[in-house]
Amino acid sequence: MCIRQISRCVAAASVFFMLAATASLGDPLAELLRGLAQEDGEARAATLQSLVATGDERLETILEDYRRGSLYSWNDQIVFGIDLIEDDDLNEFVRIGDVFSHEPLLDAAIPLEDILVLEPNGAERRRVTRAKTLLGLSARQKIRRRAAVRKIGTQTNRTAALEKLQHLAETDGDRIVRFAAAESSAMIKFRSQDETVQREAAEALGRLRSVRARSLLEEAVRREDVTAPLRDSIETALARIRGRERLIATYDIVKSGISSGSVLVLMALGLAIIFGMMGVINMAHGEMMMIGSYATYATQLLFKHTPEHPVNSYYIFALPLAFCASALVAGLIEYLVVRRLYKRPLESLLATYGIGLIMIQTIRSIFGDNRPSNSPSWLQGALEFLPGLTLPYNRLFILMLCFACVLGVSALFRYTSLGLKMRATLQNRDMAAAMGINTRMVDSVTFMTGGGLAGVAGYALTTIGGITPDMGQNYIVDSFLVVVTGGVGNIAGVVCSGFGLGLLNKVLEGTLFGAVWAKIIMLLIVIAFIQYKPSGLFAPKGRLADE
Amino acid sequence: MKHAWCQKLFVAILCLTVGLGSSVLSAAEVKVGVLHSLSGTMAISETSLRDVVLMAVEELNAKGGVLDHTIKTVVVDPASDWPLFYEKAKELILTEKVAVTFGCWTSVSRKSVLPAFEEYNALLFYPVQYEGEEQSLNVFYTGATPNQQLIPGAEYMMNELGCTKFYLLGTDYVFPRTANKILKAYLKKMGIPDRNIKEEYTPFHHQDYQSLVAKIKSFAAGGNACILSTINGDSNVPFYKEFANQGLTADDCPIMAFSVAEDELLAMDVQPLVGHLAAWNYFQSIKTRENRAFVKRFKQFCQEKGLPLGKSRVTDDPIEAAYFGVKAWAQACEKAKSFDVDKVRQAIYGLEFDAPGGRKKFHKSNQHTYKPVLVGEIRKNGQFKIVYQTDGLVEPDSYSKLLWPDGNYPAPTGGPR
Repeated sequence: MCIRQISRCVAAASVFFMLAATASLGDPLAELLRGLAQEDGEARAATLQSLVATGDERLETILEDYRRGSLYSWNDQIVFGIDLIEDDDLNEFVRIGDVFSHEPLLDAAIPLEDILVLEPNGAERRRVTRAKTLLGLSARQKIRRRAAVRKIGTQTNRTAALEKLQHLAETDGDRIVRFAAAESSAMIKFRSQDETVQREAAEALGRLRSVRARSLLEEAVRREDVTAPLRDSIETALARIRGRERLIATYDIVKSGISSGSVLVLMALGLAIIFGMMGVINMAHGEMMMIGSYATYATQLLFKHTPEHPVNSYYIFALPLAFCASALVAGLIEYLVVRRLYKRPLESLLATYGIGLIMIQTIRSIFGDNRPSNSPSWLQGALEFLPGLTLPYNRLFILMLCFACVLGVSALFRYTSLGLKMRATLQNRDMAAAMGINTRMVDSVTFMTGGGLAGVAGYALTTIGGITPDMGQNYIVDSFLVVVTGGVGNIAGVVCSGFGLGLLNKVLEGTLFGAVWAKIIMLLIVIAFIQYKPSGLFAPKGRLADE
Repeated sequence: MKHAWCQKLFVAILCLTVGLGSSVLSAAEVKVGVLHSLSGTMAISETSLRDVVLMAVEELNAKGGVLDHTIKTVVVDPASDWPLFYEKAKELILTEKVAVTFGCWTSVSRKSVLPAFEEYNALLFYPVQYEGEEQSLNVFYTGATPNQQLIPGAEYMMNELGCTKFYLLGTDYVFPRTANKILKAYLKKMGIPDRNIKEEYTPFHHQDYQSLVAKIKSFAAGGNACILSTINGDSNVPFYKEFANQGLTADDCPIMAFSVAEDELLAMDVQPLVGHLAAWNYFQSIKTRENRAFVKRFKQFCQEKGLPLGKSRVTDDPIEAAYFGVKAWAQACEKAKSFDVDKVRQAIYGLEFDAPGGRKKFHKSNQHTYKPVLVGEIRKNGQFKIVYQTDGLVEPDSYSKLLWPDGNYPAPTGGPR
């Protein structure tokens, strides 16, 4: 009985959907849309014009689909192509959906030969883009609205949209849309011929500190025919805008400095433990980081996380997994190789470098180069405090992760018995052994902790860049730089020098030099600094320093 | 007893060697070299070119070879190591005595092998788009010259998307540097003022694009701005990710890439790239019967040979160029009725031939290839939707007309001894 009811419901629902599909046939907009399938270019242009004249807000998405070539003509009806499917013989099929709702119309896909693709030419696409911007002002999604509101301010001959923009500037629910609408309407007004309107617009733009209007105003000031009062108001507005731009630029430098510093600290923390405490120059540190990235990628595959079907929780599970995977690999390396080479730094350097190369090629053979990692959706996008002042979520996350790791490691050393043993072994290995500490075991644990931390860094890096087998090589030099500058074996030193070098790099890159020179100059500065303070920022004091 | 067994083995080996040797002598064979990195940093791109060259040779052999000779490929691995490229090229020319070599990807590898090919008057087919400013009589360039990729790309941004501000962004090496020099000259010629053109470079493997994207953001704030990108390899992922994370979209500031093709997209998180553009001479999505058949054959070939990724492999611009290079060489040999380098060279000048992406031809004197230019929009499946195509084929410039306005190009290098 129950099953029969369900099947009846399903039947009713499918009838409803079919009705909905046929209903769109009776829709005047659907009737108009059919004109887009005409062969005559002028007739298509006329269709487009009358479409836009309806002002129907559903058109916004439809026009975007049209511009991208996702609309098809099928059975004398305009339909939406949901996706293209290829069979083994590379014949292409298209799954079609309703032009308005994008709901699938048929279960089976239609061969591409049996269906007409609507492909607008360049001029049509430009016209469509312009029309779409206007319609975008009333889009439901705020992302679309924001884009349209911003775009319309840069277009010419848009006085017709002023009323709508002013309405948006006062009533829209989204702060960014309100601001951009005010900006754009002032920009449109500024393009008018009337000087009083122009002056008012310039003053408004100055009040808004509209960064977007700067090039518009600058071009106006350069023209010969500008009257003195207008020039004055433009200059005042420009001064305010430039002030805001300086603020944004400074903020950007500080922000990117801190966030690249946090990456450096995260990377160098594990290295500081291994290099600082054990004196092992671990050249495979970058590869342990890479293992962390691949562990994150593997977790993503396991949870079947894709951009279309996000399973965001994978990222939470990936953290311990990345730590464990890298720690495990580190433990293995320590047990098999490094343990046999203690007190022979050069040999251990060469051995770990070789292990690093082996790891790179092994991972390349198993997983391949450049794997696509998809961040969870809550780490995409950015926090915007003020127009222009943004903080991407992934950077914020890395910063917090960095602090958590630093605190965690400090706590481990300070408050746990294991930490006590580690410090004892560091200070005087023989004495510690004499006191009954199993220094071999302590070494293993220290090495594994350092490796695990590298894994955490690799985990964090998946949100910034791609995953490649040799990604560790990009970071290893920087990490050693941080550890050496900070003072070997000192967590506070690593934090200070990590953030310091990150900021220094970004200040150089953001102000005077490009990325290439910034790197060179930073290296020179570090060399000079090491000459002046060979044992780093926080040099060990007292008896320890003599050893 | 043991002694007799040894003797038998010796005789058997002797017979086998003689037998093999005579069989080699009886069927006429011509050797061709394949000089692509199969390990090291360039392996990710170059391996596909080796695969497609092997496929082209297999196809030729199935049809009876060239001039009744079976083609035998000699594959060497220069391991992304530039000096090794020279050594391996010499090995192919002198030891293996190959009739022609198909190889190289980076410009530095081509420049490294050039002296070898010119000294011994051997022939190289180079299949990758590059910065131009070179014309060696010992090389046939089947990839694009700057005016066959960069200029139409910039033109598209200007005319179709109405861009008036250009951010030229590249990885710091010879291709982006020269490309941007040419682009800048072109944009200035089109009346774009200096203040609306910016140029910036990042080191190889650069990962932190925060400052750069911030600069782009302020540059693009006024609208009508775009990026012409020659960023190379693994730096693309962090760049596009940062671009999207700071709230920029293809609507605000479209990116036209000159170094991102299907083979790279296959191994990338494509999501942040969707809607951005690339300019090439060939896309896998070209919808002709010939191209579909080509794509299918390549996928099948990769599957049958058990190559990594098998059937999900894709074709792209350099792969097509490497493929038709082999075919065009064979056609030229048939025309010249000889494998002799000088005769084959003469036969190639002006040669018309069929390629998967459509009919193409060689220039009558400057060693390059006439090609169409296409602009594609990146789709979420890592393929391109073709949004623009030039009418007919674009003539290649060996030296850019923009950098040599008087037309007094340097004389070609190399050639007959």
